[in-house]
Amino acid sequence: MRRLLAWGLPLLVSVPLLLPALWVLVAAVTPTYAINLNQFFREWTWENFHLALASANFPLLYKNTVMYTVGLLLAQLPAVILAAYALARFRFRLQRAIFYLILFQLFLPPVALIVPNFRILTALGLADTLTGVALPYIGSATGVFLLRQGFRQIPIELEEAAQLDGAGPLQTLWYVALPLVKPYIAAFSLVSLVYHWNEFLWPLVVINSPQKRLLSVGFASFTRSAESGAEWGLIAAGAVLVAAPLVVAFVCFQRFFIESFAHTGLRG
Amino acid sequence: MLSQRATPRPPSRVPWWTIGLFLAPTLVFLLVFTYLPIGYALLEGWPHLKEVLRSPDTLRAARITLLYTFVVVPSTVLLGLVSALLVEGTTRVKLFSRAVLFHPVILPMVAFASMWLYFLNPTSGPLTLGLSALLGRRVSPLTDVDLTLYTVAAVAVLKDFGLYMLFFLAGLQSIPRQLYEAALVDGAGAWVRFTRITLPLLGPTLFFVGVFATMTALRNVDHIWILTPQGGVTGEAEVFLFHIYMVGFFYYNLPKASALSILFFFLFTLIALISIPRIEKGIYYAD
Repeated sequence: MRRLLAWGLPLLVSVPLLLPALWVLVAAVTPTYAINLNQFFREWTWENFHLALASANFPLLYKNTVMYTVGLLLAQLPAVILAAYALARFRFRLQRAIFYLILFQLFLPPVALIVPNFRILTALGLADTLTGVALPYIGSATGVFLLRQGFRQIPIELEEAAQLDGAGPLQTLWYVALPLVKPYIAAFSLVSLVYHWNEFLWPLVVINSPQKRLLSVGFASFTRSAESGAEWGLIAAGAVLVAAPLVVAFVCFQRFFIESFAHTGLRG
Repeated sequence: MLSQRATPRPPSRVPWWTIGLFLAPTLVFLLVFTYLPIGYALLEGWPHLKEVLRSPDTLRAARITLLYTFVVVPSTVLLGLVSALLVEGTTRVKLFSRAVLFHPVILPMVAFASMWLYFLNPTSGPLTLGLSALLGRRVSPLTDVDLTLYTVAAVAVLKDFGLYMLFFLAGLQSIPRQLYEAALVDGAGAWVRFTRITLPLLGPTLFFVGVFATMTALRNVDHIWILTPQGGVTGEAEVFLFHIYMVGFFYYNLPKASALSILFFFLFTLIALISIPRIEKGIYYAD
């Protein structure tokens, strides 16, 4: 009985949560009229995907989203690594003040300041650009604190030895410290990619031109028009197209995903 | 977790300009895109602050936000805790269940919400029809004005609790096993062990998850955009950020939206002031 509970109870709670996702997979390959008649598993079709691809230019949306998420990450990493290392290893005046200046940003996500952030972007002439969407995220407090914690785990003696051998701070960071915080960098990178792939409200506000849209925004506007026609097969196919890269990666690298996201909960 | 680095290191001989260069990229972006916008909002919004504070729309958005937060935060935290307790361990079933409970976290909210759009459709959604049959009267969770807010709250809860489950799992792992063994020797039952050992030692995690969940509830409105165009039939799901979005980018009243942003900024500052002293030690000295 105890053993039955030990595996029955977790399944009882978790499996129902899987049903909506399974429904999407099935609906995506079921003709819309059959969905509206509640007839599943009778007819299969790729028509929904053809329609979705034709109506929302998914290749372009994918391209924009990859450029945005990867480009942003490439800008975040140097900024975040340098600041994290400075906070972890250097001693300097105003250290506490700078620490709090960055810490406070944890409580002020760019979307909380969506209107003034948009005004600043407009003033800089960067409204309606993907660069503009990315800029507020480059100085990422989450990244700084995550990596700072990583750097503080390294035995200081290794870096001191490098310094005795004449390495400057940048060389010490690059050759000694950085290889040792790779798991932290990987965790931060994954969480950043997933978060920005899924992001919606801020790019919705910044981007105007359809040819610069990101996946989530393109899908959402397409859902709104398809919903009024009750084109559920189309919406499901669109949802599959938006989520597929992340879901496939998650299924393949489950442990890495779960460990990385657990890391984002900075120890409190 | 011993404070092995409690003794300060000898002052480094790194010149100040090197330190400056290390910090510059992050600080520049932080100043331009966090602190400058705050200043901008204050300048632009201040003259309209009185008007905004007196507006019934603001009060309504504040009331809706309060209710929404009070529904979402305890439910996500509780669900996260319960599922962490259920899937703690390394058996195959538990690892599988853990992945299943976590998966909505990585889904795009717009995709997650649009599948609920089907289940909750007012005329044909299976959930609407099922619920109506069950209650013997027509009920539409998404469009009945007294239910909309709870429905969008439920979607947010289902999307997010898997992340808090992970935080609680990490918290559970940091509790020393010996405490449970000692309690078992003393003949303590499962409930006593939970309330006397697990819960008190999870205190810091609970606080952290509570703050995290509150901030997520305040800043995440993607599902509302998908589920209820314009925040519900009569705006009954128009939480504060959604209200700011509508005023700023739908009615295009940017000065008024700036004034609302000031209020929103004060709210986040308040959360920061309450929580920083309690989580700071964990961050500052965590090793």
